[in-house]
Amino acid sequence: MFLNSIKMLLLEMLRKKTVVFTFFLVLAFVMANFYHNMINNNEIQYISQMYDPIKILTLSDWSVSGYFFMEYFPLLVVIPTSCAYLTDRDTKMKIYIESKTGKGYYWYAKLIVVFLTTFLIFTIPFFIEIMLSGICFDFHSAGDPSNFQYVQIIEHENQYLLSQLWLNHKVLYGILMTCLFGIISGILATFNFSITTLPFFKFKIFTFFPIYILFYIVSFFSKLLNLDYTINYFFILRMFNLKEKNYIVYAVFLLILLIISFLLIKIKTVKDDLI
Amino acid sequence: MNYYLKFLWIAVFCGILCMLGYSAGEDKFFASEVISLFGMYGTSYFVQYLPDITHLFVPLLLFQMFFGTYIYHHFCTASIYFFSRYPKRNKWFFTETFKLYLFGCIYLFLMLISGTLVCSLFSKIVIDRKMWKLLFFYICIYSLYLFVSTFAINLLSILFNSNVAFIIVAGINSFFIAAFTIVGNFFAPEGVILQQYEWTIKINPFYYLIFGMHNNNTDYFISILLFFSMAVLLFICSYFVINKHDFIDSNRETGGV
Repeated sequence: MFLNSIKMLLLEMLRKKTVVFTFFLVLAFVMANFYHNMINNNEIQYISQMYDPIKILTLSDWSVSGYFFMEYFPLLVVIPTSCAYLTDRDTKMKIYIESKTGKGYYWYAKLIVVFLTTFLIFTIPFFIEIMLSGICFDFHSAGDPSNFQYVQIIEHENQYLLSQLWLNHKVLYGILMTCLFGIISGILATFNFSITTLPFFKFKIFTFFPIYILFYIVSFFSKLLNLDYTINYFFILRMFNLKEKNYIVYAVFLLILLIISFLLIKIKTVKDDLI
Repeated sequence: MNYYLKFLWIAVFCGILCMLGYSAGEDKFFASEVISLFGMYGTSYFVQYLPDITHLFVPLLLFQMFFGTYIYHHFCTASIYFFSRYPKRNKWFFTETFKLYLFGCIYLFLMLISGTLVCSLFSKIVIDRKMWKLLFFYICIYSLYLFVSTFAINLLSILFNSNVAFIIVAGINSFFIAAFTIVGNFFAPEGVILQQYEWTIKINPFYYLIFGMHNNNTDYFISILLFFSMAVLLFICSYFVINKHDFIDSNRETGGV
């Protein structure tokens, strides 16, 4: 029954205009980056000197398209699912689905669907890019977009997250980082969704602010505490960024977001009236 | 209107958060420095300034988000009843528009006051002569910017819905911020933008919000003029939107009538 609820809600969610719009928008960023890479590599005579395809992916720190994409990220991550609850409530779909599946099933299934939808939107376009890069470029190309000296590049590569994986399996590293990015996006979207179930959210426009306030408070802490590592999403989520990072803090933070999301939904399943 | 008054607390909250990070550890603060900080004085057209710019820009974005429904909400609930009591549609609309502008001014004032108060907890605040000039320019430029962006959200909400309207306006904002902060990495090899590429930042409206980019009073007046002309243009557009809009239309927010 629970799996059926997830399936029904997922199919309904994937047909939404906002979901399709965001997917194609993310794909547009990816395609712009891929086109830019093709132009750049075309100017290089030898395949071995071409840029490493993984280092110039959209999620990489060297991508201009990725730079713009990250600036839009707080907005893009909530567009597909921010109104998921409000729309169901206003169109009375919620009552219809709840009567078919039960209250608890509806809420938990919705939470999982929000996560899955966001995960798919923020991973599939990047997987397509890795695939296209595999077809058009050579993964053995050793060119570095930084144009630093070889010794310096080696030094930097040892500072990457899971550097051993990067040094041994570059493609796997790209796939894993894309999955991680998708998971983080999913967690942020579920947090936003669970917050929007609070009675304060009268208009759809308000459903965008939880993530903005979250990032705002985070940036405030970075100013106040003078931390020796970055807590700005812009530098954390981009691959190959060399700013100091503390992954344990980020993991705990995401776990807290996830717990808050579940708690809010738990409260909703207990307190929410069917009508 | 009372519903929106409570959102002014966000200004207080933002003012505190904006200044707490900067004020800690300083012995003395000039009042003009506080205003300059809110006017993003210490930022420039390089990627490394993006976190600072975002930090100072979010309060403006929150205003756009919360007041983006200020005029539009009349079109959502009981709009037929509401507008039957206001036959002079244009007059009502202009009054509401003016109130929206006032809300913008109050929001900025509250943010400045709370920010200054927070600073005064840690450091000594010195009121200097430059403060009055900067206060005037800050309120003029930023209130006009807030008005233009929030008014645009309201208008687009009437045409589409609040969700789409915010995505459009926030999307444009984000594009200009990203375009501004990346320029230096391409066209400023020695820290200052090359003269032949100056146009790349000057065509960006976000450039006119950064106080660090203003060298003299003329620059400030150019910024005021720019946002004022944008406001006038939007105002003219709004005239057509309001008069052409069918009030007995379906509720775009919830789908009902």
